[in-house]
Amino acid sequence: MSETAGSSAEQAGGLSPNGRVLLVMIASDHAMFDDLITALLDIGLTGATVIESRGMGSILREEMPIFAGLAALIPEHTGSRVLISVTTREQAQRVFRFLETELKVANRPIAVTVPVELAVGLLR
Amino acid sequence: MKFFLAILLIVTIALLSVSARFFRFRRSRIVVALVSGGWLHVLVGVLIGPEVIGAVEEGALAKLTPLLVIGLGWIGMTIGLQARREVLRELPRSLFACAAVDVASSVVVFGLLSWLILGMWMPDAPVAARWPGAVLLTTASIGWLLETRSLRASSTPAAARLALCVRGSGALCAMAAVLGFGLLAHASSRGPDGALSFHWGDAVVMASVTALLAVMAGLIGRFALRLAGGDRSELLLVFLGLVALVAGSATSLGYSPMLASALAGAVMANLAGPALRRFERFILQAEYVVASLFSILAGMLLDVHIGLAGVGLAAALAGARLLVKAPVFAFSARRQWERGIPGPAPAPTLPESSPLFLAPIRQAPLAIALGVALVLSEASPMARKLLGVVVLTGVLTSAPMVIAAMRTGARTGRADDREPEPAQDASPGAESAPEGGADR
Repeated sequence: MSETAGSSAEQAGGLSPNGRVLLVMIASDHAMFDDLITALLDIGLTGATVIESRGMGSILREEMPIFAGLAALIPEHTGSRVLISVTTREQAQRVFRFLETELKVANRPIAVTVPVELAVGLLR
Repeated sequence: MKFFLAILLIVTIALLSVSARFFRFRRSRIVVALVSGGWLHVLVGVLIGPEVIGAVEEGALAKLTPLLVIGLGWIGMTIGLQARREVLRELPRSLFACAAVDVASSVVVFGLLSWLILGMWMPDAPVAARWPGAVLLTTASIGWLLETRSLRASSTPAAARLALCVRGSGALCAMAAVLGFGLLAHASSRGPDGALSFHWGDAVVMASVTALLAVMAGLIGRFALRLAGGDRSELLLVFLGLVALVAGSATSLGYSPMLASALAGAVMANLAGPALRRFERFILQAEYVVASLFSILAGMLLDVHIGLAGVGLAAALAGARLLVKAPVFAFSARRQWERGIPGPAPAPTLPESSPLFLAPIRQAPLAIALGVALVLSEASPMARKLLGVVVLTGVLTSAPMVIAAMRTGARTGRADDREPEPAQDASPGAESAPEGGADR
């Protein structure tokens, strides 16, 4: 069943705990990614989209190898993954709490939230 | 104390040159063309070495041996780690064909050329004395500098395919060069009277022991990395220890540290385990730092007094690269690529003309590593002169490419890489196979 974000709280920029936000995470550590996904499912973030991506630096470095001309083709070195999810503010805060308390600084993905004004097609 | 300060200076220069501040300069195609071969770092090494400033004295060069062995091991492992089954399976067959053609043509042309000119350089030495130098100059001529940024005038799919062809087949050539040098250079040894002798039976034993060492290193590495867990400092210790173990063991046995490390890297690349993937990432990400450090050390080691004979040899090798490498590559790339893609759709093609076809003229930085490997194994004045010849050849082959990069930079945005007919590139089925991993 679809719904639109029609409540006044959501139209006020999603500042209420139930307001919608777009959660964006950029994870460059492939070894940690499976653990991250599992942890997010445990927290309750069950709907997300993962996009294979590459950083600007890796695009430049791909064209300037010294000895490792094939390194750009090795699966774990072709870039990072971006996870996006439209979720509630409360859910996003749980995710951030997890990232800040359970992961070391070096292992944390870059994560940001963006308020959502309008949305369509969400199933919950 | 002076030696310690010199090493500190070298490490500082190497780290600064790959810092974000200096890496920004590589946005310029001309700077990329200048620094990618490592020649600037070699020059720094020459300046601070015994030939000029003398921060490291002649007698202290032997103390550099452990650093050089680890450097060779790291470079070998970097090359070997690319030999992952799933990656090699996805590569277009055309890349293997281009690499095979380059290896064959290099062995014939540069092998003959170096054999003849070395004979003129050392007229009084026995014929067998030319062997180590000929092996070095021949294997150093295999492959080319893998950097494509300075020569890529446009971002079209055809240009991207050609860049992949340059990098991919160049990487395969590097593997062949390490294998060839490791087996052939160490198949000979000098007796107490300085005479060279060949032991082909020992070469077979060497190859077997090296392979065994590589397998053991792979298994030990997986175990040690699992114990280290995620702690970065422990991982670094394991990484350094593994490289030193493989390269050091091979050196003390009289074998090639680069070949042993390359084989160990290939074994580890094909073993499963997240810890090994972290190790792989660490080795590959340190490529720039290790290359910078190693080039500076090589500059300190080489003998700049190579005389007219050495300069002539370098010029001849550079001239041969100019005349042979680019046309052979262009011919084999077009022929192999355009017939190598199965399926009903028209095969994606390469640009009709592009500065990237000139990329194989430039000597690979791996040649410096091979030269240093010879110096470590031979420990003779001639080996250091040959390292100087290799470096000079690299400089001579890079110079025309800097001019090409300037012209490429002027043409960027005008899409002067002449493209094939648009209809040939539009077939979706034809796009998938050759670009397997390149666009990820």
